[in-house]
Amino acid sequence: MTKHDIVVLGLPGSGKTTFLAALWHLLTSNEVETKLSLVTLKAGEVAHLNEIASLWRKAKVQERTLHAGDRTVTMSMRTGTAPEFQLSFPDLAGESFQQMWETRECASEVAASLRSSNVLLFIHADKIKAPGWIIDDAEDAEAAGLPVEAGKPVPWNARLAPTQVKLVDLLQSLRAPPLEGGRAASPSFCLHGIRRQAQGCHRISIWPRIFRCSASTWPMASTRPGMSRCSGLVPKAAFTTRPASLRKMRPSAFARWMFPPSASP
Amino acid sequence: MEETDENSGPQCANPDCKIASGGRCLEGFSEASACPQFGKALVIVPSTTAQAPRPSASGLQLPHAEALSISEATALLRQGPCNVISLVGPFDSGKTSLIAGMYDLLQRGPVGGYAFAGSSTMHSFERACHDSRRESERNEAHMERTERGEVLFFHVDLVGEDCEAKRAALFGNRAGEEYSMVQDEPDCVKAYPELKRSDVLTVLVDGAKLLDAGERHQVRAQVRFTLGVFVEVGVAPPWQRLALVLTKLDAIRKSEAAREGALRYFETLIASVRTEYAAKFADVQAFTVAASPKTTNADRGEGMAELLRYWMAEPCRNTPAGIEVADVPKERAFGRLSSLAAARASS
Repeated sequence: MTKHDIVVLGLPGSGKTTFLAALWHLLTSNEVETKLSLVTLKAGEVAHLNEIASLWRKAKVQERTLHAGDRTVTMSMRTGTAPEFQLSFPDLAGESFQQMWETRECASEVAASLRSSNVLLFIHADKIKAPGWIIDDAEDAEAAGLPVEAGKPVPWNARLAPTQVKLVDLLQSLRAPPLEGGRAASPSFCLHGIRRQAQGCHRISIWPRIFRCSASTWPMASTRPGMSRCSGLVPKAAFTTRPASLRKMRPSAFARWMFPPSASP
Repeated sequence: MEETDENSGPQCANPDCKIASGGRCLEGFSEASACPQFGKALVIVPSTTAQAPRPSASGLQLPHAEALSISEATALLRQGPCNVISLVGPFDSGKTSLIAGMYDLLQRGPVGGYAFAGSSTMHSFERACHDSRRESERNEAHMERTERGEVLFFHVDLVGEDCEAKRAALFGNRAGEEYSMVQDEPDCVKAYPELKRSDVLTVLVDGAKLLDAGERHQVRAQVRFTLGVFVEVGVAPPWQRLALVLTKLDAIRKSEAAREGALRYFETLIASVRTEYAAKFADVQAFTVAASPKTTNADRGEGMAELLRYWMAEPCRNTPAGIEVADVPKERAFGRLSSLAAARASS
């Protein structure tokens, strides 16, 4: 049986666990047509999957994943009549990736997961922190005829960096020692925004050229919701908790709303 | 910190003496009581040997993201095409602001036809930018003073919008005080390795000082003297490009009274530098920038696009020099026959 492993990257609260919950719901409920199907309901960490899928069905926010590397979900799946394969999917805490940027350290179990041959990168469109400049605020204040008030100067801390800086550094780290060793020759990338706030994705440029420059070594499928081209390993989807206006909708109907048939690749 | 051993029995303050264990006095006194060390508490001096660093319990250490040392920058030069840019100017002329301003402009998208494609010094870039960002809670952009010491390099990979190949840029940043020392000790520039390897020597002219009629003459003298030293000592090879950069454009525009005078003075400075040094450099260009303005009199990053294009142009050191074919007369008459035949044929 072929084995595929995917590492899910993203800063804290970017939707990694929510994605996993929605994926498990779609595969087990059989209410929405998906390219992938489960071969067996037995899965690694099935209790965890049921727990997070239950929260997702209730449109509840997932609890923060606190323990990095201690939950690796495995599922036996197939695409159509193709041979069965096993998918491994570690549910890592976003703090692990934050720590990589801030302290330049990476826990051993996270490092092992990061050597996976496939990568999914999550960005929460509501939590993108764009850089802001004093001079721009000064211009706005001047235009509004307001005084510029100074606070107590805050010393620099890596935590204060804009989202795109943290993500670019994270992706760079995967291509440099000591994390690049053991990576397969052609991993795939999948960049996710979130449909509900898709316009928010324009606020982050992600320095697109870094991906273009990486293309020779890392073929990347840059996706928008409903347009995933991630080697057929995941359903065509970007998942999120349901917005308030859609909370009365059945989960499967919500899933259809999220991934309309017209968006099929 | 010292401790004393208060054990009872014969003892000596000298830790090597064996008198306490029934041996002889190490100082050679036949009567132990005659020894000035005898009877005193043993002095225990704690070991000052540093403890071996323990391996990090948290896992793998990733490469640092701070500015590069000379050896790290040298290793990066071997990895691919790279332009080295040295920023020269006295304290507070805006060297770090120029580097930080360029990085911050790239956050929004391509600048001057070049887009960001990676960096190994992102912590240093972010630290340099912090005090001009909202998160610093300041009401005016500020820049930390560069500490004296070895030169440090900021690194950024850039890719042209019409070209897929990326090219690295290394910005050599050194404390301004060390360039001021050049006035008194010209030979000290030999110890500045970034200068000789630079593809673009970028000399900064402090715009705020040009506003002061007293200071501006000193600025001009410093620029010309510094360039003179670089050429004389031999750290400015002829394939190097020279960029004269007028910084703090916002401060110049703010001063209505002195604005015209400052800009005119900069033009005369450019003219005199071109007269003196045009033949010594591959090219001399002037730029006017507001990398990190403190007032709204200039746009953030004004003039930086042109400067970045100049920095990232194909280095002149890579341009092959034309070789003139010298017509050397042959020593033997037989050797001269072919040229004689050619001359007859043409006539």
